[in-house]
Amino acid sequence: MIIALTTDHAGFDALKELKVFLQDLGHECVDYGPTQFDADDDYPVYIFPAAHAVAEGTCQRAIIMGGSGQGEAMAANRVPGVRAALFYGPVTAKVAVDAEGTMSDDPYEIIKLSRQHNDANVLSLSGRFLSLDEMKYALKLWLDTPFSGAPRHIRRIDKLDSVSL
Amino acid sequence: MKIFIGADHNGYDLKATLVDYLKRGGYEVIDEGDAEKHPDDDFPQFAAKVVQAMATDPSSDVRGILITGGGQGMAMAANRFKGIRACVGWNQDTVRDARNDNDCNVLCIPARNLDFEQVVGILQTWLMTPFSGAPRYKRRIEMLDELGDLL
Repeated sequence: MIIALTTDHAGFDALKELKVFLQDLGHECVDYGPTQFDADDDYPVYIFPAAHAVAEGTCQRAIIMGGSGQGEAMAANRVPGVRAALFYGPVTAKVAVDAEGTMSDDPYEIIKLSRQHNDANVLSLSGRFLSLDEMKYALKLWLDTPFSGAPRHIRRIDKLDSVSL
Repeated sequence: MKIFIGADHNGYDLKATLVDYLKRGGYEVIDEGDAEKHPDDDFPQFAAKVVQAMATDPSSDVRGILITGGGQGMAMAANRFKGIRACVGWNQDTVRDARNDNDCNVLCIPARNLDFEQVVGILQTWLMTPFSGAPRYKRRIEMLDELGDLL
């Protein structure tokens, strides 16, 4: 896959490691910066170009990172066609995870669900809350999990970009 | 503070509980639906209803709460709209950051992953944590609504 990568200062070091990890898995990475560490840089400057690359199809996916990952996901989701999911740690669902009543004790279930249900094409990682091993595990799982294609999920995804004020 | 709340079928029960809980806490809460539990309803419509209510309300401190199973889709839907800064509320640390750094005005609650005690902790943290107002955070928030159009 062609994957856009970007972060603000909070993910600067970790993203370099993830780039190598993704390349080792056989993916092509397009680096949207920053090229130098700047503790005062502003995430929207980096996130918007990567998000647009996904929306326009230049890249199939984007991995974005920040301190909590929340602001980065906010910025990416401003762009129609982008579906940015947030991940900041393993958590186990307490009730069934789908309409069929499937139970799961997988702490990475939310990563899979973001692909199966939301067809997420951007993953926003929390640089402060995740270890590198957690990021790598989540990344590979996220890239390997297909969208379910269920009509109800397709309908909701369509509505993401068609419901207006 | 005035709070608009909405949920799909996976968040319907928790929404009813939270409307009660917030009203007892003295908050003004407006339920934007769904009014009944429809297992086949689609979350983006409730995100749009809450966002629209927020955008047209003249009050100075307006917030939104959106509830689904995982919270992710609601945040995608809400963040499509300018002026909205929706976070996914997995734990207290991250909503504290979202309020302090991002002046987050919409809380998306992943009902499936939290028990009620956790929900209350996250909700209270989100309600009580002020935006820091730091110039660098203000600058980034402005960019969220301005920069997207330029690129």
